[in-house]
Amino acid sequence: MDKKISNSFLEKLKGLGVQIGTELISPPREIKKIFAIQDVIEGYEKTSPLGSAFIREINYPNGSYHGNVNILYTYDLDLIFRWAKAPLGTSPNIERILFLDTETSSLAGGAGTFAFMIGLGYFSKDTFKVVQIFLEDPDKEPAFLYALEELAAGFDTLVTFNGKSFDIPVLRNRYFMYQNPNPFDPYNHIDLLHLARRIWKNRLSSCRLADLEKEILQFKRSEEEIPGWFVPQIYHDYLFSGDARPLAGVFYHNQNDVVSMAALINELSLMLGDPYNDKYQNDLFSLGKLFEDLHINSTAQQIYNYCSRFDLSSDQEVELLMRAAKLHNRIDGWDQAIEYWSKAAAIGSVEACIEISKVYEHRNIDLEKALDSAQRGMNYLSQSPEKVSGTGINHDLIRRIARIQSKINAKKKD
Amino acid sequence: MASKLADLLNIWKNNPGFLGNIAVWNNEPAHEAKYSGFPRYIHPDLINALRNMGIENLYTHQFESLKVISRGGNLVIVTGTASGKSLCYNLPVLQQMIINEDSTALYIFPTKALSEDQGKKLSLLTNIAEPLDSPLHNIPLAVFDGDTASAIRNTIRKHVRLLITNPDMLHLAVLPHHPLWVRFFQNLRFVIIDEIHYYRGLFGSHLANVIRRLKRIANYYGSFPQFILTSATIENPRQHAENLIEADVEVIDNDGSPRGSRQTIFYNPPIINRALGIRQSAISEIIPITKALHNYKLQTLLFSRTRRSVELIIRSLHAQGDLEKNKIHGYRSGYLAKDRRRIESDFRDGKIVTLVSTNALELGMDIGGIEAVILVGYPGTIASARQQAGRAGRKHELSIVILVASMSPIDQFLMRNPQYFFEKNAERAMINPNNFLLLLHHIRCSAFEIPFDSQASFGSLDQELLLNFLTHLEMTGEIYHSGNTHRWIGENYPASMVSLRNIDSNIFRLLLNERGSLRSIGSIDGASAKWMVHPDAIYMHDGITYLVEELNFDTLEVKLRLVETDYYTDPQNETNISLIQTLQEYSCDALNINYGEVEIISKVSGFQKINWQTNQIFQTIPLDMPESKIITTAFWFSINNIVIEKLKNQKLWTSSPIEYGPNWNHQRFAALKRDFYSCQNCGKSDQNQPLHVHHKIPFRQFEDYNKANDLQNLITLCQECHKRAESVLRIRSGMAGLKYALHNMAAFMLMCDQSDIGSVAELKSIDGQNSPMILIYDQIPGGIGLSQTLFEIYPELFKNTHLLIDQCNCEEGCPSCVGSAGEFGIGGKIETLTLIRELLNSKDRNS
Repeated sequence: MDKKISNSFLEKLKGLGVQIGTELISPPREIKKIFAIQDVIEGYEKTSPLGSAFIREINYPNGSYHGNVNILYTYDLDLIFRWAKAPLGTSPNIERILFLDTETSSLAGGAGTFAFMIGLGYFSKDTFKVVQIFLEDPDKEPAFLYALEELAAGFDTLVTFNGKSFDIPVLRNRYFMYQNPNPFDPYNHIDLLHLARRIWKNRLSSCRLADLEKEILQFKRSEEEIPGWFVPQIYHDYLFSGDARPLAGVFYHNQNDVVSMAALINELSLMLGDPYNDKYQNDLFSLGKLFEDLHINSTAQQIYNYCSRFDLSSDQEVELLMRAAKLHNRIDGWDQAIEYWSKAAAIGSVEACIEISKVYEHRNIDLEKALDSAQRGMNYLSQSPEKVSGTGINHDLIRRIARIQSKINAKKKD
Repeated sequence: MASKLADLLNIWKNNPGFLGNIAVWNNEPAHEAKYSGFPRYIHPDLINALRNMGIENLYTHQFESLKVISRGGNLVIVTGTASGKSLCYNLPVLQQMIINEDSTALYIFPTKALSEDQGKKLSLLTNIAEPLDSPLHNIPLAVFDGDTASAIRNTIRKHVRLLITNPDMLHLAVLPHHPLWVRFFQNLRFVIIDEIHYYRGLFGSHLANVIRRLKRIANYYGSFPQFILTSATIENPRQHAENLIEADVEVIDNDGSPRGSRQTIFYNPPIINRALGIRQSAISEIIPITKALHNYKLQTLLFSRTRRSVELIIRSLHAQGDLEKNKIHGYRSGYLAKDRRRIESDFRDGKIVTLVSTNALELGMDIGGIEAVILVGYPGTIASARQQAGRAGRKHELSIVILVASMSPIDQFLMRNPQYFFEKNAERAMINPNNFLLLLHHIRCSAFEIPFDSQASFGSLDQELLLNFLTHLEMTGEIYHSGNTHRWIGENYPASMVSLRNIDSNIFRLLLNERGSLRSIGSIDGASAKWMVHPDAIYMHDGITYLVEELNFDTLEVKLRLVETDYYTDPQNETNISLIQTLQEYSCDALNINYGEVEIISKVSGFQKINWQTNQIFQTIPLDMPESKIITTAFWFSINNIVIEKLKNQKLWTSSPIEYGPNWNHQRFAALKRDFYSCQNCGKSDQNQPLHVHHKIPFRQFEDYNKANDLQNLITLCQECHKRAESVLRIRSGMAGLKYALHNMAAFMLMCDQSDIGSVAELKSIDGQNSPMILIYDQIPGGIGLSQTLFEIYPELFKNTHLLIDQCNCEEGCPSCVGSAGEFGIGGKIETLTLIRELLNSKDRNS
């Protein structure tokens, strides 16, 4: 096949300031695949009416560790499912969970981005299986997507890392482009990125999977590893060169991403099941907040109490006290809560002063104390206004003080 | 029944001062409505909805539109504003929505304001339907633009049937994400493009390519929508429509809507300086006119070109004292949407009597028919002028339009040649979708959207050319070719690298310096930046005036600060042009006329400060800027020696060296001695450098050589400075005057902005002939079709240019005909006229 490009065309483009490539990067179709994928990676062809797709499988038998986490040991997943807002009545069945991670041709999204590798992971009796589907040539995408759909059948819950914003939208687009429905529509979806942020955002500078793997799971990847941002380039080069050898690093990267997610969900379930374990001391407060968000208030309360013994920064202490106070207020009433608010107010919390003022204005009526507390809050505010700028607290206090003052005056008249 | 307006007009008619400035007073008689009933197949719910809005019958053009659409064709509707144009497309669309409850339609409007407005109109139609379970009721419609909250975007994609958007959004956000819109595209039956006259030049060329991409996507999902377009009056509505959508289009231009009679007045402010040709400013003239209208409580809309002048007019009106300030208001696109809504409805209700606006109100928005419209200066194109004028008009009562001329050449030309406004031959809208750079950008975007297989086409683009582009993109590594398919494999998002408003990927950010902190107010492309925002330039953005403090080529930033000045700046370009190839040519005995490809190396060498009011240059400042290089298309003509000789014999050709009289040598040495043998401008007194003695007032201006060679009129200059001085004189010559007039007239006839074309006058033609030439080129690299058109219309171009200069009332030349008079008070008018007359006459001899 002759690949000609007219010289006058090139000249014209050049004259308009466009950079011209000096030689064809893509070799003619016939002389392809110096090192085909089949020569580089051990796998098999999965055939279907739409063609064949290249598959690689790795088994992780019982007792395998990823860093310091046993891949196969999972505590109760109930809480995680609850957090992910899975429909009520869904009881987590570990064997119906499908871990999923994609490698894409670009990070741009839109119709021009496609997945060229999909890593799937699932538990099957005593083994954790990783199955990777590889797009040998973009022409074979229908078979690739078909294989994915087949392999994903039989599961009802997806676990991804940032899959809600990226991986699933990309895959969905690909199905849509072939005018097929999105096969992942009916699945529950647990996006571990969001859960990870809840727990570790305060403590770790980054909640990216690679960093969590290092910090939490204590796993170090080998030299085979290719960083995520470089992956599209490798595929790109493979297509133009026909040399699949550098792809080994991508398979390695993708495979570890999948296993990391499995290990991570195990670790998270352990933490939620045994929060007071010394190992999790640094994250106990975050866990408490999670319990509070899940409306498991008694556990949250206990955790907050426990945490109060720790060495905390004054900001953390204030947050802790305020949350504890809020819970008490909800469960036991304001008289329990006020103890915590007072402690917070003593450290300098403006919000605490406002809460106390509210109590004395509306509940345990003592207008003098109410005014006193509000004015204390005002003092704190004027000392460090930047802390609460833009929150409207300033106006709130002004109105509050004025209102209480007028109530006091009204009383005096009687 | 005599109306107040008729009374006021009578008063004016009897006022000799007013009448003396009137160039034209035209009367259009009233026309009755022409009705047709509803076609049989129109759904009764739709008829009911219309009846609920007070519409009992269709106008003929609305009926005809339905007919054309029902036959399956594409349509362009060319009727005036307030003619019920939107029903021409809304009716067929809604009819289809009722018949098929999956059908969808795409509406493309050029501005956000218009989108919102039309969205409301549609909404009204769909909500006013009865009964409540009518299929017409609550058809999901949505405006989808940059302001649409991300939370509702998903809902829109899932459910919308009437999608309203603008070209930029379509290009950047919808098409590249089409898999999210599968349902919408699978059922797409109609594409509505409103105001297509707006899409000319570069913007239109971009849009044509966006339409190509749209059609590729629709076809991919099995849809082949019909196109319904609307346009203001242009010379070539069918051709323009067909160029935009690359399909056959029928035209409907018989307006069946009623209109009361309309009088159009062309008002030319009186001349206050005959020699320099300076007139009273348009703004000062309209104040008493507006005042009179306001006092008669006649609803008046003024259109002015810039925000600045809008503010100036409002201030002047307020300063009149006896006008109610709250009944006078301004309007521009920069206002918040809700403020604009409020102003529009207040104006409709009569709470605002006088509204002063930029051209923001030119497009569509419903503000009812107005009694008086004043155009303060010609808005730049005939189509625009007619749109603005079209705002005047009640259904059954008298209305007036007053066009007040500024000193610009075309304003003055129109005053004397009103047929360009009144008769149909308005400007041609031209686009060139196949400009190479545009194609490259949009083919990249289209490859990103849908792979190109071996059968694939890109609009009507030649298959081989498409393949060339795809192969080029393979070589840059952005497209992967396997089997039959060319597929996007690049890592970026190509649509984000293209702006539909320009062609340069170097975008400079405009930063406003507000007391030390910088705020972004917009952007400008690299090509324009060099001459529009050079250091110390006065730059207008969104109608506000700024001074350029700094232009940084490394950081791509322009620092500006707010100023109020009485001058504007005009950059001076030094341009070097070389010929690449001649594509078309024609010779006659006087001229060689050509169209071809050229390379332009240009450099902004300095700029002039020019007074706003009088157009007088009062300062010229040099600059040191980097040069720009582009390859583009150009139209040029060189003047044969026969004509030059003739002119030389008339002593009007200043470009030739001449004899300086018998006492020249003596006077020359006397001057050198007096000046201590050094250049009086820069001080150079190098013995090795030849020194020249220069006549301050050119020799040829004098009858008596003694006076010419008087020492007072002589000055010693070095070669450099003499060159510069000579070139100042050369500018006075006929070539410069002709170039100025031609440039203005060309922009007028091409319906483009003055800055869309560049012009040069040189003593030596670029094709090697030793003849002087004038060349006009497309500013867009690769050309956009402008110079090609000039080659096709040059006889009329020359004829009109001659008229422009000949009809001008000035003596020596002025900014309204041949350009600024300059320091010596010499206009060059006579030289220019003589030159162009020779060119016109010579042509006639041949034909």
